[in-house]
Amino acid sequence: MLDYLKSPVQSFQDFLILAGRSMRNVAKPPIYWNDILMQMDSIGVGSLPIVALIGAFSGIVMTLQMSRALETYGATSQTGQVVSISIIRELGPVLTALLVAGRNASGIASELGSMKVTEQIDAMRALGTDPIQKLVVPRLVATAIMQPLLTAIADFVGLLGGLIIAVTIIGNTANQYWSSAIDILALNDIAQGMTKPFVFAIVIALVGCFYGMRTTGGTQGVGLSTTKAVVVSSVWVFVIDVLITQIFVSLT
Amino acid sequence: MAEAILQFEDVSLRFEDNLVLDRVNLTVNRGDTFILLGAAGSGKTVLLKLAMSLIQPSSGRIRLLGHDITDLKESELFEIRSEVGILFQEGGLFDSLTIEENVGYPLRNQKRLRAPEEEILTRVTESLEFVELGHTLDKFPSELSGGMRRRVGIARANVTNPKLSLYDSPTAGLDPITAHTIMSLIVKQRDLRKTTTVLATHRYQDGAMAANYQWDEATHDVVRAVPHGQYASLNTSFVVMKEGKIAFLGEQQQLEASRDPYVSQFVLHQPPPRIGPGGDRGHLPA
Ligand SMILES: Nc1ncnc2c1ncn2[C@@H]1O[C@H](COP(=O)(O)OP(=O)(O)OP(=O)(O)O)[C@@H](O)[C@H]1O
Ligand SMILES: [Mg+2]
Repeated sequence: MLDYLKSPVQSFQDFLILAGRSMRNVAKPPIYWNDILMQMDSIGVGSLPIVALIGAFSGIVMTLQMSRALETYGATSQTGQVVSISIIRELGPVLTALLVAGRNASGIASELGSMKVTEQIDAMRALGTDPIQKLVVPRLVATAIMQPLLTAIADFVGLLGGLIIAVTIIGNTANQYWSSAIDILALNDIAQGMTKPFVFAIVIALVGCFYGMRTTGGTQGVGLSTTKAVVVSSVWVFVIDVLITQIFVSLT
Repeated sequence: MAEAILQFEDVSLRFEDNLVLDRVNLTVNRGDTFILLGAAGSGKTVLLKLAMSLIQPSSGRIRLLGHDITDLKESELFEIRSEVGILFQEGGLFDSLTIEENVGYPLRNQKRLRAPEEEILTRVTESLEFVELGHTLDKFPSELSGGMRRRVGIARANVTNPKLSLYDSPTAGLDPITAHTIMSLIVKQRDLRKTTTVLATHRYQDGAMAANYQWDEATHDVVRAVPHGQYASLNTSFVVMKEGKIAFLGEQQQLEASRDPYVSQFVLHQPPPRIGPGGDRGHLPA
């Protein structure tokens, strides 16, 4: 039993060591600005279309699903509230995180994984650079900057999707929809909606780097690390989502 | 008293339950050539990585260039590592960088070696010309053949003018002609720049060539240091690794005389001597 637990516990410990070292290195020179910008481009700009698409669909589908219930209670004028609360607090951050996990945790893990198996990471260390500084920190910083932005975009597009349904099917006016959507939002919601993507981003980037950097076993190993990175980071997104939500709920 | 460049004292390494190196002792002195022979999985690569502290031993001590590197922190290692060149078995060339950037990488990233940009370019070009690849500066590693990539790796390992060069299986997977070229470049580096050399390989010919051939600037090729059938004394030692243990350590003559079945397999698994004129071990008929 103890043996069975040894390896996950060991892995988690290794993960914390990597996380600690990366955090400590964030502000330490040398800072590889070029790498940070390149990663921001590939993580942020690259994910933009799909994030916008998912944002729009979730807004549309949510509003459609809600319309019947709202009608039953005669509360169709509050469509905006329901949509904005659920998108800003929950759907925007989580759906974006799952997309980023699928797209970027896997990308990071496979890129670092192939560098590991072709000994490029060893070469970096042999030739004077710290792979944490050169590879992990730029990915971490770039994801932590881009993911809140992507989430904000997903939120906004989601609200637009809601608007379309609210106006065409439910029969709100655009004004009615927007004012109810905006008025309901408190600082707490915005804080929650932005804290989540920031924390998710850190976890996703670190999990991707972690599995990438400990790849062994050639190209097959790279495939394995990639899969693990996606699964593990997605699970963490849900776990952390519950924790953060609980914290914010207890704050109000 | 010869100056020790690299010393392993009772070094063991274990990965989980797998004992990968078992109490290894060896000393490489300045000017030595060390040939590490051994079957796949016998621990050649981990030994070279330990020598640069890219992995830490489970027990024992490792001294490199007069420093005990066993417990040094990563930040303290960079300066010592900058005096060592290494060619990785899997290449280790950065595939997102051009050949010029790859070879210049240590010069641009190692604090001790920072130099003005023109000087870097000169040294990179020089180092690539040394391996006869002066025309590939702007190419990417993926655009080169396997043998050319090995040569770029050699250029990158030696661009810093290291005191010690480590080569991990430089001829693995190459045709005999290219393998000969690679080996002659390694001998050239050793003889022209007086680099202490550790070479891991599973080809006995490579070792025999390093042991008996010298770089000859006049003919621009390697030539035998002594007549055929004799052993040159070029400070070459052979180590045969077997499952993480040193099965043999000594000179070529002793190696060839060894009766140990595992050890002698490495020697006998070579083409019979004198296939044609000049067809001695380690040297290909023209
Ligand atoms: N990161 C690692 N984790 C676990 N085991 C490892 C690791 N690296 C090496 N090993 C094990 O160490 C042993 C020695 O490996 P090493 O790569 O040094 O062999 P080698 O002599 O270089 O073989 P080859 O000729 O195939 O290159 C092998 O059994 C290998 O499985
Ligand atoms: Mg090896």
